Formats: sequence, C-alpha cells, structure tokens
Amino acid sequence: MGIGKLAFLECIRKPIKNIVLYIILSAIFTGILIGLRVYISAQHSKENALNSIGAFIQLSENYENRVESFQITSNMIESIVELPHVTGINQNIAEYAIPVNFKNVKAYSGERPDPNDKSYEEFYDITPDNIILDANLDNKSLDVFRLNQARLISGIIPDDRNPGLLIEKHLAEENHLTVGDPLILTSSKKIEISAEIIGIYETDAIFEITKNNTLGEGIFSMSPYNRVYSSLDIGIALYARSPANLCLKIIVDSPQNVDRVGKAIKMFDWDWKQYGLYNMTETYYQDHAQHIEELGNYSKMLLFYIFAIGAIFLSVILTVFSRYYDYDSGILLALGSKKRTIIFQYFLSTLYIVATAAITSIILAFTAASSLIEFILNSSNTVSFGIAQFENALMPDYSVYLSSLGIIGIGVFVVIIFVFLIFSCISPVYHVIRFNPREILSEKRR
Amino acid sequence: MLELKNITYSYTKNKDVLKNLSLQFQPGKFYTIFGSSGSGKTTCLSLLGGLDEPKSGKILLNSKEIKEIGYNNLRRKEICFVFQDFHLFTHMTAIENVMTAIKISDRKISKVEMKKRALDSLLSLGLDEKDLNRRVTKLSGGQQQRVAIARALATKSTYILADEPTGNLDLKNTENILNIFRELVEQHNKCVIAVTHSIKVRDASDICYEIEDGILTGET
Repeated sequence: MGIGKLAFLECIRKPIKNIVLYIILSAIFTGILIGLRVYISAQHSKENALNSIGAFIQLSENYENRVESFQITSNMIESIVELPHVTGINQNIAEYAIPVNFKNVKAYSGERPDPNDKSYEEFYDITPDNIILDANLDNKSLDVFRLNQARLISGIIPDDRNPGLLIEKHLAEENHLTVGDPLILTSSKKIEISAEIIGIYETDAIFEITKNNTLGEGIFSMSPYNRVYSSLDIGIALYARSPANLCLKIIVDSPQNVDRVGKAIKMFDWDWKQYGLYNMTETYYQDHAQHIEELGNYSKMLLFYIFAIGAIFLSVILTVFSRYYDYDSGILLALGSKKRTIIFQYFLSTLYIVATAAITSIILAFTAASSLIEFILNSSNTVSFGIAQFENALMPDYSVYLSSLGIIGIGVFVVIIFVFLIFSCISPVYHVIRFNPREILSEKRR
Repeated sequence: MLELKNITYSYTKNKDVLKNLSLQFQPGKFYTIFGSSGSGKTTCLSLLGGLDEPKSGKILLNSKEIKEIGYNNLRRKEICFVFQDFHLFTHMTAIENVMTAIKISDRKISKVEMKKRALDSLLSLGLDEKDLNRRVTKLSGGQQQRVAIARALATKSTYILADEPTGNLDLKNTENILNIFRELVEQHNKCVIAVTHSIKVRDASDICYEIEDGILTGET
C-alpha cells in the first residue's frame, strides 16, 4: 500500500468528511470560475468599448470657468500635433441646414410620425425637411468611418485640402445626385452656400422611429441618410463661425495613452483658466458604458465574497473533522511512519479532492452555469441609455461579450486552486506536526 | 535484547514517574508489566517504543541505544504495538490494515509479496478468509485484536508491545489472544511485552515485572 493508494483510500472510505469537503470546494471553485469569467468578460468588453469609443481628448473652453476670449491658435495646434501618441486633430461644426435644390430622405422603419404633430416647432431650426451638415477638419477620423460603419462608394472624403460635400447613398439616389453635382444649403442664419459633392458613402445605419418620438415629422432631420459631411470651411461659411472658437479634438493612438497625452498638454504654458482639457474617452465610457464597469465591480465583489465565505466554511469543516487526523496520525506514527510522510499522504488525499472539485467546477461553470453567466451579462446589457426617439446602428459598441478565460484567467484559476489546496492542508499538517506520539497510549484517546 | 537501564522519567519537574528503573526483555519470552493505574507501566511501554525519551538512563536494543537506531526505524523494523482499543484504520479492511503496516516497515516489498505476507499472518491467527476483505469496524472486538496482532506479526518485528491487550475483550477472546501470544513467543521467537493490570494476563506470562510508583517491586 503506497502513499498514493493510502491517500486514495483516505478519500473514498471517509465519505462524510470528503463529500462535504468536495461539495464546498466545488461550490467555491464554481463561484470563482463564474466570477473570473464575468470579470474577464467585463475587462474585454471595456477594452472593446474603449477602442470603439476611440482615444481622444477635447481642448475647449473651461466649462467650470467660462471665458469669452477662448481661442485656439495655430501655434497651439502645432504644439499638440508634435506630441508623441497624437495621431491627428479634428474640429467640428454639426448643425441643421435647409436643402434648397434637393430634398431630404423620409425613408424610415418603425412608428409612422404623426403629420399633425408639430411639436418640433418648439425646437429652434428643426423642420421635417432639414438635414444635418457635419463639417469636419478630418472626416476620416469620425467614428462612422473609423469603425467602418460607413464606407465611401464614390469620390473622396472631404478634408481641408479637398473641400466639398460627402452625401449618403439614399440621399443621392432619391435626388439623382452624383459626384460633381452642386448642393445649395441655407442655415438658420439665412446664409446660403453652394458646394460640390465630392463623395458618396453608404452606411450600415438604420432609421427606426420609436413610439417615443416627440418631434413628429421633425424626426426626419435626424435620419442618418440626411447627414451630409463636409470640409470644415463649408461649415464655417454656412454658420459664420470662427475656427479659433471651435473645440479641438485631439486623436490619440490608443485609449491607454489618453492620460499621458493629456498630462503632456497640461505641461504647456497656456492659461488653463481659459482652456479646459477633457478626456472624452473616459467621459463617453462613463456616460454610456457604466454597465460594463458595474459588471466588473459586481464580479470582483462576487469573487471577494466567495473567497471570504469559502475560507470560513472550509476552516469550520476542517476543524470539525480534525479528529480524523489525530487518530490516523497516531497509528501511522506508531507503525513507524515519519511525520513528513504522513503530511505528504494528507497532501495527496487533499489534492485528489481538490482536483476532483476543480474538474467538477469546470464542468459546472461551462455547462449549467453558462446560462447563469448569460443571465448576468444580459441583465447588464439592459441598462437604459434614456428614452430613445429613434434607433440607428451608428453607435460605438458598448455591449458585453462573454469571453473565455484565456491563459491569464486559467493561470489565476490554477493559482486559486493551489491556494485552497494549501489552505485545506493546514489543518491536517498542523495536527500531524503538533501530535505527540505518546498520545497514542494516552487515556484520553480511548 | 531490549533493555531499560536506570531509567528515570517525569512529566513534571517535581515528581518522577519512573525512578531508576532497569528491566530486560528477551525474544522467546512473554513479559507482563503489572501494576495499578498510575504506577508508570504505560510510560515504560511508551519509552520502549520510542514514543518518548527518558530524563536519564538508557534504552538499549541489542546493546545499542534506540536513540541512535532512530525511533521511526525502531518502530518500523523492530517493535510493533498492540493497543487496548486496537487502533486499526477504521476506513480499511483487515487485509489493507496489515498491508499498510507491511509497506511502512518494508518500502521495497512487492505488491504480491506484501499481500501474501498479510494473508499468511491473518489466516495464521484464525481469521476467516471472508473476514479479510471486510472493514475492520464490521469485525468483533476479538477479531479486531487479531488483526492488530497480525499487523505486528506481518511486519516481522521481534518485539510486540501490547498496551492492555485484553482490556476490551470478553473472557473467551482474552483466552484466545493469550494463546496467540504464547504461540508467537514459542513458535515465532517473538518477545511479547504486555502492560496490564489483569491477573489472568499476568499469570499467562513467562516473566512479570511488578511496578508501583515507578519502582520495580517484584519480578516473578
């Protein structure tokens, strides 16, 4: 009877102690696996959301300390673009514009807007026939193009070197427009401009009007099909704005470097009472992806409680069953076993139970418990972003995805198993070490 | 020969449990250490088995101090215990108990040889074959004590230290166990040292050391 066999007999022939130990360990490991998987899913989802949001900082007026003289100079822009990790800049004007020589698109799905509902009139410059002119210094850096939610199908994307307009395919088709045609627009400031179409794009966007629509037919102005992108100069001309008063969007190479770039900009000797520097990646994440953060916190809390409660339960069980170790240790010592051999035997028997519990937990966590994980994730995805008047597909991805554990997760799980293995061995080892062989003959043992 | 030489032992500073005690035990003889409760007889057994160390004096096995031999080695190779409460592994069968002891005493033994030796020992002590693969908790007190003796026999230890070996047995089983002890001594040249306060056991032994307050008061 080798040590391995003795340890095996110890496991299978002492059912009460070992089944209780097995059940507790299985429950702990299953909980830990679920917690770990949810935590890793939350981390991956956060990473995905941050990448989807993009990495950018906004330099604008200081919102806490409004100063009318706010101005962004070309020197400031030059200083910023030379910083490491800065990959680009953008300035943007997006406002309603009125088509003159074309009509907007009124295609939709979902709830039909009530033609008698004139509630849009309460809002300045919203009409059923408007479009939105989205003028940018760098249109390519916009989320829809960066995330490939919109793609150029004809011509080029406008920028400061290629002034002009970029319109959506539906708008082009309904008005029989093509690259090279002029569009005439007027703004609420009664300024009229004519600009050339230099590109046409198609989009994954849908335009589904919900029953929460409070704008009547004015909602059509918000259709993704009615969004016209342009070079910044057209926006400046149409809305009579100065580029010096526009916010500056500073594009960074990765979300991890946003803070670093922000700190570098803050080092510039500018009047920071006038300027405000805002981590928009973080702001958007906080505004839209709080459910991911909550999921991460929830999984950490779950892991903490499983650790704490599991350790307490395990300690109680091991204490309750500690007499087993005294009795058997005494016999083994009387037969001539060394203490370290006995300790190794108990280590092996505990290892068998821990390993069996670990395998059980893997099966449970990946089969029966997978529905529980899905439930947790689905619950977290139902966080409302407010009442939407319409849906379109052009949003950064804030979803939570179920991830596999990955190498790091598996490594952490193995370490946790090892910690519990050592913890489970403490009681038997303690009893063997402190056991006085003479006790085998003592009256107390009888 | 196993020998206690001028042994003094105390649990507390002021009171000696054994006082300058000298005893000798030779193979081929059945010894009893007889005395009332608290006389120091169990302490003697504990010292002989290397479960404890004396305050002064020497314990010798074939003229070599058992401390030098190593207490674990001593218990593995030379001596074996038989307890009043049997002290068998309750989660094991009779044969598994004996095989465990054999494996501890001889780490290199083959599985076949180990099983053969265990079977021989158990059957030689009158246990039925059907009982060998039963959990020891299913066996009677007499059968359990035979398993405990078979464990001692199978390890080929010369010295069998028995602590009140018949204390939990009825008259019939007591006689059986005493007969087995006699057989071990006469046919296997073992040395049985039984600590007892039973007159019946004392009378069955070849030599009886009577101890009172840690002092040898008689030898018969």
